[in-house]
Amino acid sequence: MSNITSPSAAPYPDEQLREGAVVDCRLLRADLRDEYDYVVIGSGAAGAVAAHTLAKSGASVAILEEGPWVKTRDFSDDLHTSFNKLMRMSGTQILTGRSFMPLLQGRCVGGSTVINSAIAWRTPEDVIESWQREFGLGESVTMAKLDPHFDALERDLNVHPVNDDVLGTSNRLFVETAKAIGIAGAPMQRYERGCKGSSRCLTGCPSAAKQGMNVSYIPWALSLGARIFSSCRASKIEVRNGRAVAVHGRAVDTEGGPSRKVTLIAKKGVFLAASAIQTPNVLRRSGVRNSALGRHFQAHPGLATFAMFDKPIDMYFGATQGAEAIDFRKSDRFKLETISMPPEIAAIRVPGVGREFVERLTQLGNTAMWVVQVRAKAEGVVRPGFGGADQVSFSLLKSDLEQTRKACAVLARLYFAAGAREVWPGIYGVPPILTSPDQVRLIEEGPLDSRSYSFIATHLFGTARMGPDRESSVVGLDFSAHDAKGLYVVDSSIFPTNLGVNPQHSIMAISRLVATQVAEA
Amino acid sequence: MNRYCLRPFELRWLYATLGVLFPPAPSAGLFVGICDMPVEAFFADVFAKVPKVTSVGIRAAIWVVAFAPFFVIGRPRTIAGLSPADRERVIVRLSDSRFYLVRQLVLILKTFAALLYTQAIEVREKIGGGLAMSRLPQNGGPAASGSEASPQRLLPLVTDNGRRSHV
Repeated sequence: MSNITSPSAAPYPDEQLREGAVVDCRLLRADLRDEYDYVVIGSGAAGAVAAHTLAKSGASVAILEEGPWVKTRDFSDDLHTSFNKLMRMSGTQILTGRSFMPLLQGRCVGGSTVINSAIAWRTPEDVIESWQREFGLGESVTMAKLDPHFDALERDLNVHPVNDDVLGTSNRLFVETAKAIGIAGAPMQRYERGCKGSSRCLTGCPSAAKQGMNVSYIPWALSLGARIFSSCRASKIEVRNGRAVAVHGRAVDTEGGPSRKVTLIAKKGVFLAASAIQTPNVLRRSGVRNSALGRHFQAHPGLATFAMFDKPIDMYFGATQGAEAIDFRKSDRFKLETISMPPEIAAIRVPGVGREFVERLTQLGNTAMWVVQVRAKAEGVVRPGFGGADQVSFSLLKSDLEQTRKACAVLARLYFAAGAREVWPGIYGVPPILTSPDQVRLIEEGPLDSRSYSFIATHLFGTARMGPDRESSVVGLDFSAHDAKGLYVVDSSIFPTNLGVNPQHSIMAISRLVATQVAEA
Repeated sequence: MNRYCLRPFELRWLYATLGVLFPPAPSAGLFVGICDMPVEAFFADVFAKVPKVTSVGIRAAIWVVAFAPFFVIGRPRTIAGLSPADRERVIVRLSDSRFYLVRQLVLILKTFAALLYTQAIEVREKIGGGLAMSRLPQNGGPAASGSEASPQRLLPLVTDNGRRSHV
């Protein structure tokens, strides 16, 4: 294990930055005004890739990021600290509707790529076809156009299946059991270089092995001359004569100090990549008015189930998310995955109260956590909330819950086939502990009420939908807003629907496609 | 101290509630309970950092649980005024309430309490995280090593005259 505990031999990529490339807006002593060819709002998957592509073409690029740059050296495995440093609303953001659905969004340089599991999936062809057929996207987004970008991203970010030495027991058990019962379980493809199996993807990779944007495209863009303004919230995009010309921002998290104004002139265009929740509200503040704006919000609600085994699982060693099964994506609109949530979160889902609960907690080393990711048909709405917050209303449909129930039953059978002693489905109305495969029918007959399930919202889409006309879409087929030329929206808010697979790869590929087209125009 | 900090009586209710949620379990070799940990300081930190709406939610949860005994087991006392057994009865009933909001309020407290409880080294070692922690890089990077490496933000517990306290 010595290779795991020893510090890396070279500085982390987020420590090798060009002088002056990072402007921490908390430290500004006066208002700031600067001029660039392009201004990119957001430094997550979409923004980082766009910035790098534009900088590589020789353009001058500024990146505006609301959160701070938390360096690899400063990542903590304590969830309370991590949530405060890395996540929007300290990790307490929720979607409201028939039930509450927590949402974890990165709010730091690198965005949610700092706190996700770096899973790479090319956009399914059937999804692209439906976008073309049902939403009129035509030739704007095709597999032929995306494939070269997928290839480049996979090279740049070293996409490959989880190495066997860091697969870990939970992931391995999932793959082997799935195969044994006829499900095509497989190790995940991830963006990583030298994963050490710390199982800490969700609180920031402590060895910079995960190729989040904070250690890849952002530092690479900066090395090409781009500049990033961190801790600066985009207030509005200035649109003059139907064209985006500047971005106005304000320093945040100044802890009582003055909040300086930041004005970035965009000579050629603005790339908006603030995520499917923040993007529509930035557009609203910028004067964009459109009946589709903020509507058609979609997600992949996730639901974790647990099982206890008679042997150690030690889910805190291995890839955080290392195995998956995609068999049910088309037929039943769900995907199965493994996950190792930090003990703080795992503890919440352990059944029981009092000593019984704590005793069960001490056996967490023998538990595995596998999850359901539902391609929900439900659509929600994003609106500006109180005090500048973002408000999301989202309620699952009965059909989504039917798929969830079925998926949970599949996972329960998988657990028992793997030798689990107990399965903890975590569904209100179903016994908290199942001890035999016969009891799986209780899940199949479980309630169709979202308040009975503990979903977490993952993967957000659709709030500034792309399409040919301004009545049903916000962004045109050239990826710029219908009402503001030169204002390119490149995050998943332009996706007409959710995907059924993890979206980071699709987001990056589409962003790279748009940035390449704009740079070459 | 920020204005959202808990008042002394709210803290008493909170301790009574959390003592049920995360008690010591000597039979499982876990001798520390959450009440041995710096609950007040932790929640002051939480209230200082989370959005106001979350602070309101936490406070609402504390109040609902505090006055639940009257509605749940017919005892006109706050949660702090009950015996440990009755407190557990109340929390069990609330956790399994047919009212979604009530279940969620208990879950809010459990969630934040878990953030504190699992910071303790003894707890981590017992629940499995400790094993993995020993294998982790310490974020020291190339320049730092040994004592220079950035410290884990875990809470050590020491025994002081038979009582556990934090250093």
